Amino acid sequence: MTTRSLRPSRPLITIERVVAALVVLIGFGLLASLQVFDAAFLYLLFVLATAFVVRSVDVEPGAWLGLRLVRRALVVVIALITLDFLTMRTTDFINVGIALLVLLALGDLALGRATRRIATADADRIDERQEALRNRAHRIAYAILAISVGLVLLIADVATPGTRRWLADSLGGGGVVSLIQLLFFSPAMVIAWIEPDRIADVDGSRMRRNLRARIAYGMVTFAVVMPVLMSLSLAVAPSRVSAFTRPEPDFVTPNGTAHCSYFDARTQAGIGFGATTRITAVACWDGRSAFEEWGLNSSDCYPYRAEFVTATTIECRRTMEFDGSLHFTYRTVVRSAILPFVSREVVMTLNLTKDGKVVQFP
Amino acid sequence: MSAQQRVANAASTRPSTTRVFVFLVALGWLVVAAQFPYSLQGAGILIVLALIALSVVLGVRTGWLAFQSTSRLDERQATLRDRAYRIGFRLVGAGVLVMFVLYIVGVILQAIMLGPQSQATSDGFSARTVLAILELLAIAPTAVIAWLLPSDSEPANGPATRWLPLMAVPIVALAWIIAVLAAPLQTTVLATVPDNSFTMSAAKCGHFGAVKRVASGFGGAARLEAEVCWNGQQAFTYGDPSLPRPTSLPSEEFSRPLPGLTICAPLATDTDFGNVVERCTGQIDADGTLHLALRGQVSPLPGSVGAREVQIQLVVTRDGKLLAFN
Repeated sequence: MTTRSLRPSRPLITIERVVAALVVLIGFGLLASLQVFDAAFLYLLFVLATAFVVRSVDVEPGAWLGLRLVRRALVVVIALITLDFLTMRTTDFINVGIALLVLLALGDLALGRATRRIATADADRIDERQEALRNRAHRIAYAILAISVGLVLLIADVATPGTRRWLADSLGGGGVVSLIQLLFFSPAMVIAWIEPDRIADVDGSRMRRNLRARIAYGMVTFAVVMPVLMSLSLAVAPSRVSAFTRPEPDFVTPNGTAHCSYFDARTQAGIGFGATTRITAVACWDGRSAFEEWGLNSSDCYPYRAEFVTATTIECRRTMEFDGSLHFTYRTVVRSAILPFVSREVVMTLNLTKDGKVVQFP
Repeated sequence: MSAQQRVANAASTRPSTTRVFVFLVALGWLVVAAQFPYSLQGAGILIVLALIALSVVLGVRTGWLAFQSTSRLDERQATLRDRAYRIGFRLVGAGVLVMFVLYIVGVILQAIMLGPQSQATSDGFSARTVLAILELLAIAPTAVIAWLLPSDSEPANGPATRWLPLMAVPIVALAWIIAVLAAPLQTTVLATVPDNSFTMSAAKCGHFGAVKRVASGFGGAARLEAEVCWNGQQAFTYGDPSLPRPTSLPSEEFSRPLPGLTICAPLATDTDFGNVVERCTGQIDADGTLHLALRGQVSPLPGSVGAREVQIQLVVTRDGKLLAFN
């Protein structure tokens, strides 16, 4: 009589492959939406590299994360952030979501260390007790997932048009982060919750402080600190301004011949994570007045580039003075998405007299 | 020998015929989950009932092991059940990923085959998507257990009782019929004014979208998308030559159909659970006010039995004031 082993061979669909496929898909989407060599593009590449290096290092939870109480506190914090994302609208996601996302990533990193990543470890790296623990954790996590996703989805979809709308909005905002968190990290959260206090040196030796581990620590530190530093640069670093003008063809008006110029100016606020505001316009003058040809309207006041910041236009005004001169003011507040208390005001101006003299630009 | 006993006495590596049912469930799930630009043409409920029946068969053949409490299982059964949940968890992740990929493929195919589509009113998930996710969550661990089961032998005890869960099929069918016949229609309206994605010289424009659903979309839906512009003299639609054209503007500007702007037709997914017929009529009165009316019929049951009449009215004045939209 042959016996059928319950120990699995390595399955075709593993969490690593699913995550890798998801990362590749989302990564393509993100990369397609970013400009090559933008700070966000480079930072994303660095974070991906960090994730791969960190995953290759063995971890032990240490004294603090070995305590069940600490692990449960960590799970509660992660659960609260996950809930917060579920109720977050798209606009809130842009404003505060990135800071929470960083916090959630740190929480998941600590969770991986607290559970020694046994939820996703290869079968040959864990013993029978650990395998039983993670299987049980998956069963509990599955129940949580089925109830929280299935029930919410069903009720929200059939109840009222308002609840359907909420469902669509939440998935357009932070809801997708909540879903990913539940899909890929809830088993680890359950393991962290149910595992008893760990007795020192029972489950394995201390983490080997080899070179790869040190590099991993360094990369994680850098990945966490860099967005903060780049966000602070918004307040500290001076704005960089570049501008040029170029003659445009003349044309005839009822008042005579109008002369025109092309005006292009850019102001960069922040290093890496910041915004570039831009004036690009053609203005003309004919001796009696200066006037706009194009590019000096309210629809032209929008950020040219913004990375991990929100740029809010607070003034976009074009006026014609009694002396025939043209004034255009574009004032915007650039606020960090990671540190919302860090902001900078950027003002760009074009003052042009009726004789074509540029009084101020930008 | 009961299904649970079969789990305990797993003694053969010969594939179980239960896997055929697993395959059929996977196939049915794919039909529901795929977001290709096709409609189930009102047959959605039949696929749902088939999936429920297949799920019950899987449940019976596995002794509903996935839903048994630990106290009723021996160590080996509990081990198999927990392992099935771990694999099932991964299947759910993979399933969501597959749905995402199918959605992307569907959008691309739709753009290639049908051209630019209307900016459909955002109204959450389609009924198919909801069903696909619920089915995935409900059946994944049971499907894994069924797949891992050894060659089958016919259970002996209490066949009548064991197959009682199949009653879920007529119960769901009855609940669906009651819902499509009696549940109030749900209406979603969305007005985007001004519409920054479309501009017209000497006129301002807004986009108006409305959907009326029968049984929360599980019985079909009628839909109107309209790009309405106004120039101070008249309000008018743009993109549907069958609707009245303004006399204050050159007629040839309105001769080209642009379904991406104005369309009086359901989306493919709106007709999954019911056949939908709809028609729009319009009028620009002497004051320049646009009156647009959609009249349609949603028939979830064959032969137009219990068909629901659907109406949507849109009235916009010549200066862009919205008088009615419901």
